[in-house]
Amino acid sequence: MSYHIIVVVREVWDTRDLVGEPLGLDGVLKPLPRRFDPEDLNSLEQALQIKDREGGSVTVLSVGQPGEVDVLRECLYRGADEAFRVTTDEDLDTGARAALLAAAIRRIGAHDLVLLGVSVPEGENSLLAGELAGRLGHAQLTYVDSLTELVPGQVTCRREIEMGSEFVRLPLPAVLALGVYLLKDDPRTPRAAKAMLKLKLKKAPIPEWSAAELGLAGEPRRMRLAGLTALPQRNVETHDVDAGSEAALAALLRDIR
Amino acid sequence: MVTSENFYQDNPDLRFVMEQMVDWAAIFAMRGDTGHAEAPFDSVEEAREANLDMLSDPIGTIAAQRIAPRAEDVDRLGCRLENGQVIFSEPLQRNLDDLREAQLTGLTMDPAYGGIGFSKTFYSAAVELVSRADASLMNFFGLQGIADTIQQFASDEIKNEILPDMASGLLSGAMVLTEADAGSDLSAVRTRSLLEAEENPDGDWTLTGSKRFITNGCGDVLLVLARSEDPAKYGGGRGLSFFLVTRGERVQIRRIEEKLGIHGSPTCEIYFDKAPARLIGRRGHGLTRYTAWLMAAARLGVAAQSVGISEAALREAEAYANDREQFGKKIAELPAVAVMLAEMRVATEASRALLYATSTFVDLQEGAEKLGLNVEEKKYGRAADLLTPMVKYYTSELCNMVTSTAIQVHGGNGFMKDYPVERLFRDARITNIYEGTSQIQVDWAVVRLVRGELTAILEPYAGRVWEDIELAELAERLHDSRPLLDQATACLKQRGPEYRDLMARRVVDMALDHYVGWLLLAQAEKWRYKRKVVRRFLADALPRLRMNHEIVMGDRTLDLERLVEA
Amino acid sequence: MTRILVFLEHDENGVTDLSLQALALAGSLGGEVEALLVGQSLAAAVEVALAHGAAQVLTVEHATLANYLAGPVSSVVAAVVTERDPVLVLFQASTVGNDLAPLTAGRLEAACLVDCDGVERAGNSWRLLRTEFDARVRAAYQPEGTGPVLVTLKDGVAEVRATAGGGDVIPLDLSPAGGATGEVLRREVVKKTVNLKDARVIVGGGAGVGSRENFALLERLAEKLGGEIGATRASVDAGWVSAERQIGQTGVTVKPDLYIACGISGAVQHLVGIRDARTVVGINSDPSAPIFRVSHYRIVGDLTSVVPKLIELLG
Repeated sequence: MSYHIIVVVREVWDTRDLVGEPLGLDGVLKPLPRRFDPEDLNSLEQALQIKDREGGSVTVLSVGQPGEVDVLRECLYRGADEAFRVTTDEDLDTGARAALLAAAIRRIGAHDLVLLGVSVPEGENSLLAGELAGRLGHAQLTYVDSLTELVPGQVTCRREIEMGSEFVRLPLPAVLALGVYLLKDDPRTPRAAKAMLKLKLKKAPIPEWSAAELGLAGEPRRMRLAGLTALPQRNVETHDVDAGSEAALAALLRDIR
Repeated sequence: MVTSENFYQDNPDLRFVMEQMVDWAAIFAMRGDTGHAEAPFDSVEEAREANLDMLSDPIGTIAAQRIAPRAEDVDRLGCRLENGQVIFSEPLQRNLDDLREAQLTGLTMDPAYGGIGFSKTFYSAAVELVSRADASLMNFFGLQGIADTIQQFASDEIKNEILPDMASGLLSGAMVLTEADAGSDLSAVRTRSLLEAEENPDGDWTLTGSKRFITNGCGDVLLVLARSEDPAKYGGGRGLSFFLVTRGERVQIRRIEEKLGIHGSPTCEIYFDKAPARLIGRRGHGLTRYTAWLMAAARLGVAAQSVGISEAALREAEAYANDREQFGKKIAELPAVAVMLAEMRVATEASRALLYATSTFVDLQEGAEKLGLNVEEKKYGRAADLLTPMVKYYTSELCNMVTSTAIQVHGGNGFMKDYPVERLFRDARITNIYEGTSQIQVDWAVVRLVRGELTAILEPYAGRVWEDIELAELAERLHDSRPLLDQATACLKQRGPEYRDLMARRVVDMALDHYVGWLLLAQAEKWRYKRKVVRRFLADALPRLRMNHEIVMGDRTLDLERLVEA
Repeated sequence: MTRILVFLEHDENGVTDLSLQALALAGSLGGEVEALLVGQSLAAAVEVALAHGAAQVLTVEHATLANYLAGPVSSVVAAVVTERDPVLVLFQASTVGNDLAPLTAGRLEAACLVDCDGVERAGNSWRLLRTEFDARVRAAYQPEGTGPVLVTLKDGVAEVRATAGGGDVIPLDLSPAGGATGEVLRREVVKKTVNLKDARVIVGGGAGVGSRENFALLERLAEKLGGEIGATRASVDAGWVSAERQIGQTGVTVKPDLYIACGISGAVQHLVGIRDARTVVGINSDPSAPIFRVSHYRIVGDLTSVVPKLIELLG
């Protein structure tokens, strides 16, 4: 049995190296490097594994022009079959992006699953997934950490909840937002780009659709960022403790008890 | 362990060499990567970007994120032999799967057979990156020269049968050369290959005999050096041919060695029990032509491996020294430690400079050969033939120095398995032994130095004008050292083979100090930081040149090396 | 008068603490506070809601709503929002609220923001506050246009407040939209037996712990220090430790005097849960692990050798 899977991918700020004052004098966030949203990459991996196992196709979709990372091309390098970009000049809120994506997904046509990540870095969390599922009228599940069974017409997932997890069966098509916690050498770890595909698809055209082409007149803005303030950071003065020295460890225990 | 996300992006020196020093335009033009209608790339810029991008991802990312974190386990678990089967550890198997899935198993192979068809210069960088993550994995990753050898010399039938599966990583290979009594002297090989059907000279050979110290001897495709001719008629190297043997029940792995380092790489003893074999190329050319070709590629690979190990050790030492405090300050600030760190850094960057200069000559030679440009092929071939043993010797010896010093920087901690430098030191130790010991490399190099083959390589620097005052002053000092090198080389020529062998290393060291000096000076033109590096390098190299000159010009004899009470 | 609707989560232990915080916040914003309870056997929960500031409690009882599932519950909530026309709808920033609010917003094409830690009035509209970028920035959002604003609220947004009670209960005759919706097959939830929130000493273990056996080492260390074991989601997922001990984004937020982080790299999802720890000791073999940025003491080394040494020193 084969499945057609659409993966929504995003480029996000890389907050890992954010040290010191986060805002510039203009009150705007200082420029940070950007990266492929790690949870979206996990979702792509999940889709590709299903394709490897069951056959079918993986189509990837994003909104906006690429910044530092061309996430769609990165997906093609890993084995996605097709990529589409929705173009926009505006800095859209999540709901407006969901409207564009929903229209694009309808344009792509029949599909079994729409996957994306629970996006942590910028605080979007599960918002895009829900906004999308609501507009598409699909079943939805968030905080999915694995797909335990996929059969024609339905999917079973393990989902993280407070104090444990639950197993949920959904009808297809469904929107799944993945939040995966990877262990060392976890089989869910995203694959690397493939050298040959990279050479072949470096300049492959990626079809683009504007809102007008998708039949949308322009989605109203419902949420506006009104301001940012830096939060006082707790200054941690780090003391090194020599792991090999018993005296140092004993001194540490005296300090902390 | 010092962690990183990308071993290419986090390495300013490698990036500098790749992005600013390597003459990609010349390499691409000679290899036919650009500049004609069927070329795979439209422009030099595009080809260059594709090469560098591939180094960054997937190679740099896989090395940093997958291979490096497993290195400790790979080393600890090693490989096992069970019922004649070599069993890889799980992390090693994952490494191999990752390389295969990222399609990194046919980097230099012709695209016609499913390879990527990139240059040796690119491949050297790829090997450096992988070796920094795990030196032992290079003995799988770095075996792509075996496929190249088949591509170069085997029949179309063999090529079509074997190469696509080697490109995809389905089949792995091994070069099966050495025997218990034939190590450095391969002309002593005794494994017999008999023609079963004498009336059919094109096929049906069988191999009998044992081979020892075979890296990845459990591979699927074995290139075997064996005696095919009657020793009475064709003795020594002239009686040896090259055979292709595929894994089967007549190829038995008898044992795998317990080694000091590179535990992730199984070193096998193989017994061929009338194993069916196919001749590669022409009879009697096994050692002189094919083994020489294969070994040249392998030597470049070991040089790249050495640079990768040095890089890893340097980083560990720098991180430790900037972290560890003694006497109330970071030990990196103590002059005695600062000196060690500087020596390691200069050694690593000097090694890298020579590695890519040599790789470029190899690419130019191979390209010229393909294009049928005889004059260029000879010119670049001579440079590659001289520099390949030199770079293998230089980088592997420095790699031993760097890893040893890295332990010294760590003090007592470095002696413990808790820190990666312990493993790096053990892994480094093979680099100046396998694929020809340092002594063999020096032997190869000195013959060519005495023939004067460095002259053409130094030519671009001879009349060069350095506009920058500081660089011009350094160039002046390098120029001044040239007569010392020339005198020492002439002295060897004059005083005969025995004296030449005795002083070979000294003169090769002089040639290296002189040539690498120019390479680093050229780097300093493009990156201000490198002015310090070349100054630091010359501060040691120039006195060393004078010392070696004095020794070579002196009156030492072989007798002085035999310190036995008469 | 402006109406604020508060969706209440409830389980076998009753209405959740986060839900009562949302009720308290709604009360502080001024306006008519309506609580919404969806599920089965709601009587006890209704009483709790009435005793915590709800002027009215709307109930939707239906057999298919017994176990929370986004699809059916969202169809009901969307219908209630359409009917009652609130200006603000409050949910909890939990795996229920953050699942439900966005889906409902998508259906209604309404404004929505998740993970807010503050809501203020701003003229005719609202100012929604949220901590972003690794808790370095406080962002303020302003909903635009007309229509309800759906918000999920983080723990600590308000103090739970008991009130006199005595509001109305309005049962709504709604059933989930038809069609296939899926089902919850089973839940593997542990009973809460520890109170990590009030623990003074916590020894936390992450993916780097590597095995259940190594976790036993951490347990011995915790025992010696009179503390509790905490964990990251990864080590819960790996089955080394019970989910009740998970600290971070979807686990509990802790504020111990001493937190010893063993084999924890320091992903944002975990760090948000230990931000208020007074002293952090990091033990990790990777000197560049982000956990060290918040550690007062930094031990670079293998925890399987460091932790036994600590246990030994503690006698």
